[in-house]
Amino acid sequence: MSESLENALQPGPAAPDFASLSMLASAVAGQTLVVLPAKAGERTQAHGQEIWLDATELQDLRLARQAVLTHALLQSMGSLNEPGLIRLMGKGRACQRYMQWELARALSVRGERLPASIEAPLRTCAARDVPTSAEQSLDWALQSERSVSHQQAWPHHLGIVKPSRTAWQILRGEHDGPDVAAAEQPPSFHKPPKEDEALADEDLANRVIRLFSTPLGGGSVGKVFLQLLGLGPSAPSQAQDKTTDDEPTALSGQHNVLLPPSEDAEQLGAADAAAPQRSQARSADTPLHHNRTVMYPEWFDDEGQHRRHWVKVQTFTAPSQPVTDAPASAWLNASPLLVRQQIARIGLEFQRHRAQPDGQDFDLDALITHAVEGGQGSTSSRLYKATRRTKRELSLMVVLDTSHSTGDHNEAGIRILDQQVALAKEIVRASAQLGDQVGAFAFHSWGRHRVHCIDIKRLDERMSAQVERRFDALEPTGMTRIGAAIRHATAKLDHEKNHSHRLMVLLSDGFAYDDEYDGMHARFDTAQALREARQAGIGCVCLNIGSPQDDVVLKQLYGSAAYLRCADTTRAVPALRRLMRHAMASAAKRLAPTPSRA
Amino acid sequence: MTHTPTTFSYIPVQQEVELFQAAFSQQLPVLLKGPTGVGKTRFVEHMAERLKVPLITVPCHEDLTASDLVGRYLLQGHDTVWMDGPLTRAVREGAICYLDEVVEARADSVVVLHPLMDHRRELHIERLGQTLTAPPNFMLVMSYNPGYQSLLKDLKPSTRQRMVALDFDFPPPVVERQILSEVHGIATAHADQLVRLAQAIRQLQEPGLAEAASTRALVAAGKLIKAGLPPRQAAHAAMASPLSDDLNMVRQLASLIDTYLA
Repeated sequence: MSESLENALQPGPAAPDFASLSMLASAVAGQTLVVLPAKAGERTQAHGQEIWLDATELQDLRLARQAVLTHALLQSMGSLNEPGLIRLMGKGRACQRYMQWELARALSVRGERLPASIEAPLRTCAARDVPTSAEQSLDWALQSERSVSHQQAWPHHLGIVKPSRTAWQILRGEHDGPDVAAAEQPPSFHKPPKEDEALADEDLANRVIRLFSTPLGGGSVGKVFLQLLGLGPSAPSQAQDKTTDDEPTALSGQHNVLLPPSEDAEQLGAADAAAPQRSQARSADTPLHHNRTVMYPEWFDDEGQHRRHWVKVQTFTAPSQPVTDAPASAWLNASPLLVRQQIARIGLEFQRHRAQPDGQDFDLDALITHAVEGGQGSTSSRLYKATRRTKRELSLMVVLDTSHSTGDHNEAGIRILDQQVALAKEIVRASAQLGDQVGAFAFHSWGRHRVHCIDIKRLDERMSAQVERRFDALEPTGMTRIGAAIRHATAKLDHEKNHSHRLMVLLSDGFAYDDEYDGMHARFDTAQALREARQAGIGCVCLNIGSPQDDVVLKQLYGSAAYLRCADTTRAVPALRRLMRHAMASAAKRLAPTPSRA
Repeated sequence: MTHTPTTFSYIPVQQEVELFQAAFSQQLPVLLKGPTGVGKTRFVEHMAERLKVPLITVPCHEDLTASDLVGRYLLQGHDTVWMDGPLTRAVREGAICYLDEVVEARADSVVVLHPLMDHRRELHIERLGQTLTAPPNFMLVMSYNPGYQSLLKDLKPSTRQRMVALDFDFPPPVVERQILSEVHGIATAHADQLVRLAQAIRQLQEPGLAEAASTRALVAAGKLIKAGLPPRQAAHAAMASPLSDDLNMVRQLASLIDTYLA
């Protein structure tokens, strides 16, 4: 590739196109990956679905692509999620050898997906022998006498693996152990995440020892973990075979180091101890299937612009076990028929009908039949073609706020969430019956890096009992980063160009609050997200059922979007048609130019 | 429309040729399932030529009625004249009748096919009061793209269960390279680059992207290259731009193309 073309492609070395690199990484890995700039001084590395690219590599796009694709390949092979990686802690050389063998394995499987111009240089960095599994790569990497047989040393720009990350995942319970899938493990549904800490391997090792030496962390998991590290006092035979026979790990010498108690250890232990209490909701124990990660921008009104790639939205498939004994629909005090009637007149397009008693044009077929049958004495008067608004052309997305505040009860003693769920379920059911393309997801957040969107019904999914059970399984948890959820819904609907009418129904208690997301910032961002949706041609209806939120705040929050605040579903349902009409009309106007999306 | 047999080269991926031949000899209708642009139509053309049977193709759409398939009376002066539809013609001539994108057709028009699809192999022409029995060479073939059509449009189970289904997917890289270079005469180096690019694009989980990198799109890009266009420009024109109107998406895709077509 010539330099001039490369330069033409990029806005400049200072502003690398991370979106394009993300697409490249996702294409090669076969899963959604996001490329982000690494912190200053950090080398290129991958963590979960994120590839952190060393900014100095960006001067040379060719090297940046090589680095990104190396980590995308390793991620797709599950190399970076291999729990045995912790055996490499503190061993820089072994980490490199591990990457070389894993790269060889990845290239043998996925080499054909790579551009030839990138495959060739990567092959020269990869090991010559191809291991059969990540475990074998690990074993080989730890055998310092085994030659990698590669043609050149591991180049600096291809980055590193961080075994300490894996250790943290295990510590935080995000790692399922040896059978872990290639994708990042989902965080526990109801557990707030801990901040990531960039720890040196040795420091981490000390913490690990301390943690598992405490009574709280001294369970069977702790023992196995220590044995994996070669730190356990009496290892069961299997685990011992796996580690101590190979070679003693670098950490074993630190076994006797006496460490003062620290807050971290207590916090970690305390979090585990508190877990059973918190997870009274049964869905907390249900493993969620992590589908994908998407980055969205956020609007900063004081800066007058978006911060790109600011919010990370992770999508999951909802569990479908009912949590409550009384299904949420019990709280819908309006007839399902009424809901259907409200939606029935929304999102219609013209359709041509043949053989009509009246119409704009003659129907040729009917006319000929009339002429033929006329001779035989029987005639039909249905001779016209008519065009009427009868064709369903609606894509509808129901967005459900399940943040902790929706667990509050209204004056009548009914949980806000139950009312929201009841109405959402009925809207989805009615819309599906009418033949619309309808989807639904719930959301809550734990800061900008963890906005969770729980898919209840995908747009292309059939309505089923399972979908209804997913509604029933929703429980309030987390906080409300409402702008991100709206942008996620917009992105989903934006892909549905098949239908000319697109509508989003947002059910929320109107309390937009998250880590570094409150007050006017949260309101401005939400209003901006709704504005962007309307500019994309998507109507937005915001419903607040039984929420005590102030009208002034709601006005700021929803901007000029159609919204309704009412005490219960009885009052919300009859207003649906009017709200939806209004939303559609304002979406079609497209007043302002479309702002850029990250 | 009727194809005059010319050479329709086709590189088989699995046992589809044998299966089709077996279905033809046993007089069973065939359903071709798979994404658009993987070679379903090409395959039928190839098989018709191979079996030396005429091929009548009907592109289905939602206004397609039973009389569009079977035939209708037309007015000529003061008289009415019967005009055979493509299906009736295929039955009379003993041809392969290929209904492309069959789910697009209205459900009531597909039902007229039912008696042709089971052991009876008969076509009832209500308006003529006739029943035609299909000759041994008559065969019904339908194509269907399960991912593309909306949920509401689906084949009736009673239609599905009368057919033998052949699953089509994007050909493996080796075959796809062969298709580009051997069948369409595209230079090997370009063929390799295009196939790698397609492999990557098909991994993206964005809706509609995989079909943008269909074999048909690759052939189109290859042909533009053959006509003298620079590879990147050809791929942009044949693959990136037709796919999406989303400027961001097109830009990212263009960058992907640039990475692959050095």
